[in-house]
This record gives sequence, C-alpha cells and structure tokens, in this order.
Amino acid sequence: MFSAHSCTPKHTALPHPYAVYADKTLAVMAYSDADAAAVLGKRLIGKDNKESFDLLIRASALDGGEIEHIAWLSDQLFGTIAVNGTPQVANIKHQYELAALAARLGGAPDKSTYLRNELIKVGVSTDQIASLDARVETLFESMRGIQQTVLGEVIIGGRDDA
Amino acid sequence: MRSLLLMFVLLSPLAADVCRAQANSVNILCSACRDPHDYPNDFANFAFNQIYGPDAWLDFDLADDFYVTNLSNQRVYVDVDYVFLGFGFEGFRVPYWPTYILKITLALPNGNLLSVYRSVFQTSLPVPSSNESDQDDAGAGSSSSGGGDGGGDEDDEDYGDFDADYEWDDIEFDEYEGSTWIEDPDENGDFQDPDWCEEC
Repeated sequence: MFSAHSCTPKHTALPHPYAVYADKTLAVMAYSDADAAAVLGKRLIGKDNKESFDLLIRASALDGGEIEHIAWLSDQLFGTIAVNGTPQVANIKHQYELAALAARLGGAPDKSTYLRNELIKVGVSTDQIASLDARVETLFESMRGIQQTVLGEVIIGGRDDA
Repeated sequence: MRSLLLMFVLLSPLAADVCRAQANSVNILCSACRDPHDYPNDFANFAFNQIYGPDAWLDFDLADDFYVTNLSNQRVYVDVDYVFLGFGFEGFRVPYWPTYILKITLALPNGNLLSVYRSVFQTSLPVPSSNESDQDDAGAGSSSSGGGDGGGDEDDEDYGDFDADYEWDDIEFDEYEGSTWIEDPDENGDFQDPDWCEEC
C-alpha cells in the first residue's frame, strides 16, 4: 500500500458571505432570500433537521426550483441507505421523495426510478409508494405557493397560472 | 482434477485483481474527519470530494476503493460504485443507464458496514459534515444505529408536513449591540430626543 496526502486544497473555497450572519438574521432573510435559506438550512443539519428540511425546500423554491438544494438535503439528511446490509427503509423513502420532487422540478428522473425499484425490492407496497408520490405533489404545490407569495409569480411548473 | 485446474486457472486472474485492488489502495489523510463511529458522514463527504468537486484528483482506478484515515489514526475502508439502472435476473444485472448516484460503502474500524448515497453534482461537500455542537442532536450515527442520518423508521413521517406557512421570527434588536435602525418621526414630524451615551 502506498499513501497519498491531500491536505491542502488547490482551490480555497471562500465561505458564503452570509456565513458570518447569526441564525436569527438568516431566519428573517430566508423569507425572500434563497441564499439565506440555503445557508441556514445547511447550518441546521443535525441540529434541527425539520427546520433544515423546510429551509432547503424553501431555498429551492425561491431559487426557481434549483434542485441542487434538494440533492444536498437528500444526501446529508437521508444519505445512509443500509447498515450492515440492512436497508434503512425510511431514508430510502425520503430519498425517493426528494428525487421525485427533483424530477418534478425538471431534473433527471433516473434517480427516482432507481429508488422506486429499490423500495419495491425491500418490500414497500405500491400503495405506500403512491402515498409518497402524493407527498411529493404536496411539496411541489407548497413550493409553488412560496413563489406565488414571495415572488408574485409561479416560475416552476409553468408560468401560465402566475 | 482437470476441472479443478481449470477453475484455478480461470479464477486466478480474478483473485489477483482483488488482491491488487486491496494492496494498491490509496490511503488518504483527512485532517478534518472526526470519529468515524460517530460521524461517518465526514468520511463519506471527504471520499466524495476526492472524486467529484473542484479539488477532485482520484481517477476511476484509484477511486474504486481506498482508505481514509483521520488524525486519530482511525482508518476507514471506502468502496465506491457508480449506480446504474439495470435489468436482468436475480443476481445478474445488466447496467444500461446512469442514475448520477455514487454508492459509497464505508467499513468502519469496529466492523460496521455503512452504505450511503451521494448525488453527483459539482460542489464540495462539507467536512466536518455538521457542527461540533450538533453531536447529540444529529443522530448522525452512533455505531449501534449505524450512522442513520436524520432518522430511522420511527420518524418516517416527520418530514411529510412541510410547513410552507413558516412563522418568521422578527429580529430582536436589543440583542444586537451597535445595531442601527431607522426611527419614524411622530405625528408632528419631530424625532424623539436621542439618549446620548455619556461615556461616548
């Protein structure tokens, strides 16, 4: 075995300008600022997962349906899918929901297709998957509602009903 | 006897490949990774960053499996697979379409095996994966729970009720010394006399 050390990044990533703001400040800004919602949502991962979930979904809505926030949320909050070979069904369900939401927002549907197959493999019934799909629609409508309220128009899912 | 010899001849290259893959695995130092039993996501994120992101440097051969060691000399074996949609029979699958997911399997020092998914997108994932003070609330994986991130089956429904009508707290300015804000005049257009600080 040989060793390689990668201690010094080639590109020093600058922190987001909002990184210095306190949680309360970001919480107020997050009403209409996608970056503030994203920074606070990522900061709260592990501390307040529910609020982190809400904020990152909000960030995506304010960002015109940007799916990177959703992918980040899916990875960091529900990333573990098996422990010692035992599937973590709850995490796979959440991953499926978020992947289906990303697909609904215009992302590639392949991940949700794969996770749907995985759910069927671990014994989740089609009825349960249908209920997950219904929750995806709820999330999607909530995001449209956020856009309508804050931006005054609905950008995702068509502009016709703006 | 002949079949035994044939099997040996056929399997030897495969076995050699396996041994070579293990023997040549790169060992990468992660100075920011914490205890893998409590924070397995640190290692998963770090592994992902070596393959994708602005500082990625591992090629496909090296990225197949490698070790990540933290400053406490806790070594985690990392196996990375690209996930494909596939078809076929039980135990025999033909991949045909990428899903843009990396499946990262971590073998922790205590013998636990964790499988995590990471979406392929061009950004650095945070290492450490959460704040130091978050350990108790994170549920980020004691060795017994095996690193389940945000929840297990028991909190399956916690995220279903997305709250679009979130109540946004007002900033309490008293807590921010030195903050300035605009004060409205009274009905006559006069401003209230300021309370000057004598020390200033």
